[in-house]
Amino acid sequence: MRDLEIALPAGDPRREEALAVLQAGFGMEARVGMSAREFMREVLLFTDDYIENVISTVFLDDKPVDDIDRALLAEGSRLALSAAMPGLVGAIMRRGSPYASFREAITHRGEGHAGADSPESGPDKEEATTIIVTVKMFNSVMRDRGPGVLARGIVLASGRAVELCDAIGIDTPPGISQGLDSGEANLLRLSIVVSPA
Amino acid sequence: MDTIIRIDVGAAKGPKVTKEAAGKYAGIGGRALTSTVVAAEVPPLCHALGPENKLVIAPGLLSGTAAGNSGRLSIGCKSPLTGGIKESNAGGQAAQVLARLGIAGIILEGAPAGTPCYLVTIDKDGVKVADDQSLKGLGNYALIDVLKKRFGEKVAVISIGQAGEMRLPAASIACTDMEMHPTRHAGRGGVGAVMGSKGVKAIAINDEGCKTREPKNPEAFKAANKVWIEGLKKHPVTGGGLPSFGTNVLSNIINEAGGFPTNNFKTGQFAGVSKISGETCAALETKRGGLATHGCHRGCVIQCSGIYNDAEGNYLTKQPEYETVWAHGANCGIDDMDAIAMLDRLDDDIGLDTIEMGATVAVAMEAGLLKFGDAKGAIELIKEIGKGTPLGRLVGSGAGAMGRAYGIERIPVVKNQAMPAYDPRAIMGIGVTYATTPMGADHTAGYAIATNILKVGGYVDPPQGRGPDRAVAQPPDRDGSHRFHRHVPLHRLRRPRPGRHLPGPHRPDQRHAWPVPHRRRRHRPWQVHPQDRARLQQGCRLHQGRRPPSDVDEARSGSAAQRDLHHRGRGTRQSVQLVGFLIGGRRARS
Ligand code: SF4
Repeated sequence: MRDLEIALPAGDPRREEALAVLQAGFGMEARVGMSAREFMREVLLFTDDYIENVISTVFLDDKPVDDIDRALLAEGSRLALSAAMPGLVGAIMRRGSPYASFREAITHRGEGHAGADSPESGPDKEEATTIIVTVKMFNSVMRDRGPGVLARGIVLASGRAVELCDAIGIDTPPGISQGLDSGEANLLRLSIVVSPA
Repeated sequence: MDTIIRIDVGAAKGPKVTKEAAGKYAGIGGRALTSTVVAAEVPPLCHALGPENKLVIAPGLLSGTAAGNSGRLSIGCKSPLTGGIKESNAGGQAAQVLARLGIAGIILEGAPAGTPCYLVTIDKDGVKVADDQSLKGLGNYALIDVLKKRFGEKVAVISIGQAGEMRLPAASIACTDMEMHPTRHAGRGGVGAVMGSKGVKAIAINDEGCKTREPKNPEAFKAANKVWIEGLKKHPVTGGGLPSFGTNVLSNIINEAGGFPTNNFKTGQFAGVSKISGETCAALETKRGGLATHGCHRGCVIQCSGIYNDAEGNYLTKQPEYETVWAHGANCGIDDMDAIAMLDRLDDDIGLDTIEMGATVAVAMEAGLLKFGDAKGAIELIKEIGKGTPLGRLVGSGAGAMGRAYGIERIPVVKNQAMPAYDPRAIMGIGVTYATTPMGADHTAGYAIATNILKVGGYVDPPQGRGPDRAVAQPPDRDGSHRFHRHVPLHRLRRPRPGRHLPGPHRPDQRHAWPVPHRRRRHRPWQVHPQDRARLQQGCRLHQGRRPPSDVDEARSGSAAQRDLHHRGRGTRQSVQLVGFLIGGRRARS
C-alpha cells in the first residue's frame, strides 16, 4: 500500500470538506478479532473518557451495538461511530439504551467473526492478523476526532482518493493518478495534514 | 393568558368575534388545550371541512414567559386527511406573541358564506376581521411581503398558502420565524385545509406594548429556568448534535440502522446519504454564508435550525429538517441538497406538509409518473399544486390519494397519513406508535415509552413478552394502510423460504427477511385473515355511524376503534387498555 500526504495550510476551509469523506466511510487497518472498544482505543486513539461519554451510538455491520467489548471486528466489518442522537429513535439507538427493546430485531448480539478469521486458521499468520475495516464517523465525532484521524492516514481506493481531491479542489497528486493509469484497484494510505498556525 | 378568542366566520352579519374567559379550559395549554377543545366541541362524525369542525390554535402554557424554548404553537381540529382528531404543531414567533397578549387560544368556527379571504389582525386593542380579496391566491412568501409592508417586521403571522385555500388534505399552516419568513409549519393532517375552509388566509398578531408574562413566584421560576437552560446546554443532543447539525443529524444514523426509507420504502438504506446528511448540509450552509445554528423564535436555547442559501449566496429557505431531507431526498432517490432545499421552499410557500409531499412524490415515482431520483420532475410536480391544476390537486391530496388514483399497492400510510422517516420494519417499536396513535402515522404521538418505560397510564414490561418488539408490522393491506391486526409471538416467527416474494424488505441484503407467522392455517400471512377481516369490516361499518359502537366493538375493530375512541374524547385509561390490547395481543370477549 502506498502512502500519500496532502498538506493544507492552517485555517484552510478545505479541511472541512475533507472531513466529509469520514461520514461516507474509509478504511483503517485493524487486528482481527479486536473489539470495537479496542479499535477505538488503539487504532483511532480515542481516550477511554471520550469512548464512554461521547461515543454513545455505535453500529457494527449496520446493527446498533450495546456492548462494545463483545462487538468483534473481522475483515470487511463496517463500524459507524456517533455521539448521542435526538428524538425517540435517537434514544432508541444509543448503546445500553433503556429503549433498546424497540430495536431488538436489529441489535448486534456480540457475534464476532473472529473464529473464522482467527490467525491459526490462515496459512500466513502475520498477514491474517491484519484486516481492513470500514469506519464511518458522524456528527461531532467527525468534527472532534476527524482531523487527527485524517492526519494519521486513512485507507482509500485510489478512485475515491481522486474524488476526494476533486471535491476539496486540489490537484490530484501524481501518486494517485499513477495507480489509476495502471488500471490497478489500488489502496492508498492517504493523510491530510493541516500545518500548525 | 386567560382569554379565548372565538371567531365565528358563519355568523349572519359576517365574522363575529367573542372574547371569553378560559373557564373550563383554564390551566391547560398547547396540545392539551387544542385536543380538549376538539374532543369537547367538535362532533366526531362531522365533515372536516364543514361548519361543525373547529380550528383551535393555542400557545404552550409557558409561552410568553422567559422560559427557554417555550414558543411552540399547537393547532388542532378534525383532520380532513385522516378523518380523526388531529394535533399539529410549529415553532416560530406566533406562540410567544399570542401569549404575551394574554391569549390562551383562538377558535375558528362556523363556515363562511361565499368565498371570503379573511385577514385577522390581533393586537392589544382587540381583534379585527376583514375580507381582503387582494391576498387571495398568494403563496406564503408573497403574502408575508404584503403584510410586512402594512404592519412592519415585528408582527407574527399565521397563514396558509394556495394549498390551504384549495382545502387540500396535505395543506399546512405556516408561522413566521424571527426573520419573518413563513418557514415554521404545523404540517400534518391537513390543518391548513381546515383554516382554508373557514375562509381565513392569515392571522397577523402584534404584541407591541405587551410585556413578558410574569411568574407568580419570580425567584422559584428563575431558579427552575436556570436549571432547565443549563440542562439543555449541557446535554450532548440539545447542546451538541442539534445546534451543530440540526435534526438532519439523524440521517446517517437512521440510514446505518436500515431504517431510512428509500425509494418509496423499498429499502432502508440510501447510497447517497452522505450527500444530504446534516453534517454535509451544515458545512454547505456555512460555506455559502448562511447559518448552521439558528433559532426559529426568540428565546430558543437549542437552535436546531439554520439558514440555507443558494449557490449565489442568496437566502433560499431555512435549514431543511430531517423529515424533509428524508421525504424529498432518500424516499424519492434524490441526493441533491439544493433540489431538496428548493422543494422545502416550495412546500413552505404553497403551504404543504413536507412529509406528506415527499411520500406522495415517491408514490408518483412508483406509479411511473417520473423516475426515482428525478429532482427536476419532483420540483415541477410540487409546482403543479401551486398552480391548482388537476394533477396538482391530486398531489396535494396526499400519498393515499395518489396511490389509489394510480392503483399502487405500496402506499406507506396509516389512517391515510404518510409515515414519517423511521421505517417500522427496522425499528419495530416505532411501528407501534404509528399504529396506535389516533392521528395516523405520527412519530411525535402515541408515545409507547410512556407505558414501556415511564409507567404512565399503566405498565407494559417489554422483556415480559408484551412489549412493542412483539407487535409485528404487517405489510400494507390492499387499501395501502398498514394494520397491526394480529399479535405474533417472536418464537413463532420464521424467516420465509428463499425465493418467495415478500413485499417491503427494509434492506437490500435482507430481501427475504420479512417476519411471517408460523402456523398451520392456509392463509397468506400478509393478508388479513377472513375472521379478522369480518371484525375489521364490522368496525368500519360501526364507524360509518350505522349504530353507536360499544366498548367491545371498539376493542374488536382495532384502528377504527382507536380513532373513534379518541375522537369522542375518551380518557387515557381506555386508550391504554386498547394499546395494551394491540401490543399485548389480548382479545376482548364478545
Ligand atoms: S430552532 Fe429548533 S429547537 Fe429552537 S424553537 Fe425552533 S424547533 Fe425548537
